[in-house]
Amino acid sequence: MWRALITALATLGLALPALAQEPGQGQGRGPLRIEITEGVTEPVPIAVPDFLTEDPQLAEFAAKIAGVVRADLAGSGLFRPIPATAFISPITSLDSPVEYRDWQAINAQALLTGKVLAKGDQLSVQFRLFDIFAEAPLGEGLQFTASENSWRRLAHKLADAVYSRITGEGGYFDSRVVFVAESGPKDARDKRLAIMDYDGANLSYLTQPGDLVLAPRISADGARVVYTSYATGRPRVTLMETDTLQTRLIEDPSGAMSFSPRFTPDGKGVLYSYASRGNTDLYQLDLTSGKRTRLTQAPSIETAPSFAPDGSRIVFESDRSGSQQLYVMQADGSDIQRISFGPGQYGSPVWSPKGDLIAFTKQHRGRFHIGVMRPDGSEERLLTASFLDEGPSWAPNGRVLMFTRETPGPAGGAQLFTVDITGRNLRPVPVFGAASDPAWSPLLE
Amino acid sequence: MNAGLAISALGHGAVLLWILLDIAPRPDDRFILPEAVPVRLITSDAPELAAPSAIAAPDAPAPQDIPQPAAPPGSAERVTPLPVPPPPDRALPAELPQAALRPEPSLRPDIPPVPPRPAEAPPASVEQIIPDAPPLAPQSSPQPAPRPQPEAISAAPNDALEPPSDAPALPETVVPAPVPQAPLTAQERDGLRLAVGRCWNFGALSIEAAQVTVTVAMDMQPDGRPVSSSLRLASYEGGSAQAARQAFDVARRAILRCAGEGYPLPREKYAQWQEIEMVFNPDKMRGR
Amino acid sequence: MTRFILVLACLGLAACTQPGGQATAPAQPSADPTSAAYFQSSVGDRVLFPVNEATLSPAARGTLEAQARWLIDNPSYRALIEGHADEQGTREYNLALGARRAAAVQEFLVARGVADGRVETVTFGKERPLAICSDESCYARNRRAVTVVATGGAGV
Repeated sequence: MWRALITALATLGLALPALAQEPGQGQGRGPLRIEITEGVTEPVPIAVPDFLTEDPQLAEFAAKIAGVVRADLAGSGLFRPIPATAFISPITSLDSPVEYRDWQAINAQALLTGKVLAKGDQLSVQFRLFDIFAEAPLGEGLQFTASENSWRRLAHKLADAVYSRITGEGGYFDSRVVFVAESGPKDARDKRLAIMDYDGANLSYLTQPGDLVLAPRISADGARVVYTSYATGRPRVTLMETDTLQTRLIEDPSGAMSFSPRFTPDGKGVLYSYASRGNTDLYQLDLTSGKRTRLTQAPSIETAPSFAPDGSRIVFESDRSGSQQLYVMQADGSDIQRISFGPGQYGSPVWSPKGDLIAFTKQHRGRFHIGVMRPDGSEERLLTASFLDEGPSWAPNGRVLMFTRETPGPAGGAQLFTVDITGRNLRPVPVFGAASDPAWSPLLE
Repeated sequence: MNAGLAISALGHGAVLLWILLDIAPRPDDRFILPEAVPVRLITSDAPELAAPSAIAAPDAPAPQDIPQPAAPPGSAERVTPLPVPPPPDRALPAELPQAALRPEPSLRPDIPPVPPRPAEAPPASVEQIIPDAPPLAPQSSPQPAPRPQPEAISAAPNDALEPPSDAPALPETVVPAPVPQAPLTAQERDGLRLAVGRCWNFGALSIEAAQVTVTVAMDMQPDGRPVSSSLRLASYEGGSAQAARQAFDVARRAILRCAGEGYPLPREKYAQWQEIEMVFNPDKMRGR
Repeated sequence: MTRFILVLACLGLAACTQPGGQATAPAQPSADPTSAAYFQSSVGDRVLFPVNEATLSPAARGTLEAQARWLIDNPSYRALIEGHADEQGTREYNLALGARRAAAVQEFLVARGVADGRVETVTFGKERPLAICSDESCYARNRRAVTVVATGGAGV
């Protein structure tokens, strides 16, 4: 009897572990979990076939608009238009089904198709964008209309739509840049105010040659430009209406020197530097009332201010510590905090339109750099290095910077460059002639 | 006494035999069982529900569910009001007056300054065009129709999709069972990781989206290719919903692009990788 | 003998091209001590500064003492002091630095007895370099304050 009992218990003992494993459980562990931590950074290959048109008279526009769209996307460094010779299936209509396999075969990740047509006496561009590997349209088709003269703007608006759908960033192609056009040797430079599309097209001059002009800024609505002019013989802040080119001086006691002007975010005032008896401080002028407010009061140099996009704070350059550094203060001049602490000198700070970064010029050991940092001074990163890089200006999407690069020596000259805030895609801006002091407008309406 | 011993031995042997035969593949005792994870039951019909943290319907640029193709869009252009509010159609301002040159007594007749005409160019108007996309059915990649184990599923209790259950899915019984299934080796996992990573492109992500960690869930076919319609955002962290959507798009593209003829996963271990959750974590790619 | 003359001639030329910025402007030394040209060449119309500084060196003070005396002796002249900077700095800071340098000279002259209303300042920042070789030998010459004297309503 005891043996039976022991046998039974033993049997149970053997069986239990087996029973504990439910039948067939061994494989059902749930989804396999894999962590991907390494990727690549490459421009997105995008296919942009020539735009279609039913009207042979518009064929030239169709080709030019597609060309500008390709140039915008490629120029951003984030896209790589695929050469048309690689295309397998031709696009014959904006509405026919997309042969996704054909585009996958040439490794296109996106496809942009477009069509140009006349709408009354205006030009209209329609487009569709497709995600090739998801095999689905990316967003709705859209149509833009404008006068024939503004065909470049149509292309830029289209490229902005493609750019922002794929990257999630705002676009920046439909924008303008006001700057200083330079000519002549380094010791007898001639400077004129000029304005152009961000890509160098549609250049026009705003001032005559002969008067020294410096460091312009454009208002948010693009209607006015403020800059420093020597027309009176000494540097004075000057306001210009861009449609009439009328100018007026900012009121100041005679004999005074003023420079480094910026518009307030609402456009109703001008923030600038005023030098008297060798001391330079920041002042703000209300354009409607003419009232002048002094914002800084220190025996040091305070200059190169820049508003945060919400107008609540100002970043500026000061040498109160003994060397040029960056400071942030409230818009009323209170609560001044230093934010730059690295080696070298910091200057010309500009607050990003997104509010998340401040770009600046840094000088260290004989080299100049364009850099960015958070508004509290952390996470400083240098993006460029050369003999002389200075004066960055933000693209409307807060992702690209344009700045001046000057080369050394008697044959040296100034040129405009752009760089992505990742430090990538440094490239010159194709401006006719030498250029400096760029100021990038917001996206146009 | 001998008879008792014989019977006992027989009895034990019978029990042992029963154990050995009835419970089929027994995992190798050397492997440590993984901790329990929720097992999702798959049906061939019901669509996957979005995970609770999925992104709310984004605005304009998001791909929308295209209704099944209606009649192919005619040549007539229809302008349809859509949920996405386009900027109002602007009346074009009259042509700008020719700007006066700056009145200067001493003019140097160089290239005269002129008003920047294009800057004030009439704003372009934006309208929607035909919302119906070209019909997708004909050329969309044929969805792998047969889900892994349709027959087994119908027998399984699967009224709900979500609730994780400890009860194992019956599907395992349909899987070629007799071969003992070891878990994926580190090498096999790395192979998958590198294969997908090759196509995981940061190049066109916004700065914000490039910092979001997204987890993509998907079903796989036995040949190693993902079921593209099964790719879904399981969860995300480190950014806004909008940024997560961008990051998800890029991750999904990576998975689909590098699938090719199928990821290098061992067919005999299919049961282990028929569902995959891929976590795309960009922390190491910062500052690149 | 010829050799001796040649050596003297070389030394003479060397004197003329002496660096130090005291007489780099190609002005004819004028005999008339009340002329602007005399001021420029014999009194010395400029002083130089160290990098990023507006401090006056002893040599600079010496020159400015002479300038002050000349201005007091020639009360019909007004002075406009131009402040300049070298190209190793951002544009707007250099405007301010030039203003500071010009003001330093103005203060010194006024302290030496020149009437305040006769002296004005202007800055050109780095916009009017004299020397463009882009190294220290040129930078040093560009970091300057130049006193321009003129009779009547000059130097506005």
